[in-house]
Amino acid sequence: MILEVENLKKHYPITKSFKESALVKALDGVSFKVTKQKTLGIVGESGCGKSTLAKALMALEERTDGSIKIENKEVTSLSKSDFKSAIQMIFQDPYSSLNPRKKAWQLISEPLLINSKLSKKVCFDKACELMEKVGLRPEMAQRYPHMFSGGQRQRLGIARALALHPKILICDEPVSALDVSIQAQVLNLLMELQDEMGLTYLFISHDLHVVKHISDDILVMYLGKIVEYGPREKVFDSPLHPYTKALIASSPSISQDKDEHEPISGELPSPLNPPTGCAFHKRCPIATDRCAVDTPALEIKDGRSVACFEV
Amino acid sequence: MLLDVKNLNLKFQTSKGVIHAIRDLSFSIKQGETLGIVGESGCGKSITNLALMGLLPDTADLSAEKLEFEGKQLLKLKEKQWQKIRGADIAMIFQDPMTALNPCFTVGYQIEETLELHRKDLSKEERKEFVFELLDQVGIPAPRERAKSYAHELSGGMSQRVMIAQAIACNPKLLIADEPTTALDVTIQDQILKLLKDIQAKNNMAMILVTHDLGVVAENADRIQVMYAGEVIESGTSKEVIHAPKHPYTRGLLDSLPGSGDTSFRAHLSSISGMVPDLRFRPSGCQFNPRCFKSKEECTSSRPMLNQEDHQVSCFFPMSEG
Repeated sequence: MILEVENLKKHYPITKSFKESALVKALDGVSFKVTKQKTLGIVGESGCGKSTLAKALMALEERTDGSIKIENKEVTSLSKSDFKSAIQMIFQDPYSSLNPRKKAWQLISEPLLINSKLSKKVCFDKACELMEKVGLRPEMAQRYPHMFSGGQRQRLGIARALALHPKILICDEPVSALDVSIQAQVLNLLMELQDEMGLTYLFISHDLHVVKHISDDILVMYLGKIVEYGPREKVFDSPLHPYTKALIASSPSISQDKDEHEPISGELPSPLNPPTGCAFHKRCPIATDRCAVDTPALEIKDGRSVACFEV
Repeated sequence: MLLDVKNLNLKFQTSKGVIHAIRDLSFSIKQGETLGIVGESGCGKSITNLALMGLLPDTADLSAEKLEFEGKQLLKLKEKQWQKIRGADIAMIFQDPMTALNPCFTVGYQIEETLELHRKDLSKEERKEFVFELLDQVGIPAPRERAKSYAHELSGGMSQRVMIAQAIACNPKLLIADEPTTALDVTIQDQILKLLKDIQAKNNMAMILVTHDLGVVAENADRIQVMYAGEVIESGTSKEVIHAPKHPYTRGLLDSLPGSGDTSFRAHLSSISGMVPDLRFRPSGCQFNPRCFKSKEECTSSRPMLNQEDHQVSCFFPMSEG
């Protein structure tokens, strides 16, 4: 197991003067495991905790509770540079995640300059090497980010994340800001790099088709909790949780054999005031009285874990 | 024909040269029909809509052989005349509901504003009642309370519903929906598209659905037209365009979607090499030729035109069936 996350929690206290303080449970007891060179796809709607999960793993947000182990070592026991070379991240928006005042090679080699004692010259050479790896011409090393197109910028972001030879790469919606034809190029690149460098991916996306294409395991989240988690074939081809079913049905597709369906009603409840019992029960087509009272736990059913009483 | 556009050209004078944003665009739309317009960013989808709404900036140079709405020429209208049409006969829903609503006014007031302009026959009280009715129609619970909310108090899906209520307030004949669901989650997107469909069927309204998501148009449009570099390159019923595309660009777009042709796990996705051309330096001949795998000499020397069949395509070497 390259990555083991257990009971990860991230709670944000909301304090307002003269008002009762509240607690937003952005992540509430998330556990999963990823094997080396595999991809875990994380899906869910905005506000379900996908990005908080990424930040908590990157230690950009301090976690409230739970443990994160990389290669059986608790991350808090790792030194800073060991941790950084174990896990890196690609961001969603290639337009705002690159410093406009830095040249391409400076952007890519910044992690090297900070975490190693290499000279500038060596860093420059390494940056050129990385650029070539992600399909950018090394002559472009002296350019600023605005001189690149969206797809090329995302490649820069990938090169920067690879600079420290990480084992795990967190991809937070890496292709959402790109056009379809460019999206395919970047996905191809990610798949090639995975085979070549033995990378492990945590792939966050709201696009089910993309996730289905490259993930070995799928984790479906709703309001900070896992609702279904299992191998790709199980979760996509025979989903059990009503929320997973709804997500798949509502995802637009070009295939001819898609059935007519009714959209599920309602919206994601406010995390400040989550419903009692199962968080999904108010929108759920098969909810019973019990769902409003008890919270279902993740249970293994038909080769995957699912949190629902009714399946 | 509700809307008839023939050879529409749109140019911008900039300090870096002339940008020919829309080139010889022709299309028409019938009452009650949904036309899907797809294409990548920068292909001229949004600017076409602005032209149809009379919202082009002053720097734009618009010319057309024909730009008619219900037989009325729209081309040389003055701003005053536009104001009578805009919102009443042609309405628009914008992409980002969170920024399209004014944060300083209640949503109820913003819907009422449209009525105030175009429905002079209603009294103030009637208008208020009508706003509640509209909010109810678009599926907003407790419309009387919600009408008093400000934009920031509503979720993305709710804001988009308010935008729709605003757009359908005067019962327009044509609704332009510019990426109406791009900023929304899939389950909410599903609800909004269903709502638009229901309203359309009820009011027998025509709709232009602009999106970059091929899945959305495939499921919701009657006809689809594909745009590239400011030109229509293919147009036909959604079945024809999605399942038997004739233009290599359309084929390429469809193939690059994960979950289309080869659905096997981790299969290499086919992609279109290269990038959309800079409109200041258009390639000669077919606009797609530098990226096309079928490109031959003819493609660089002369420009293909849309043929006049039902399933139109502008290509010298269209894809054969299947």
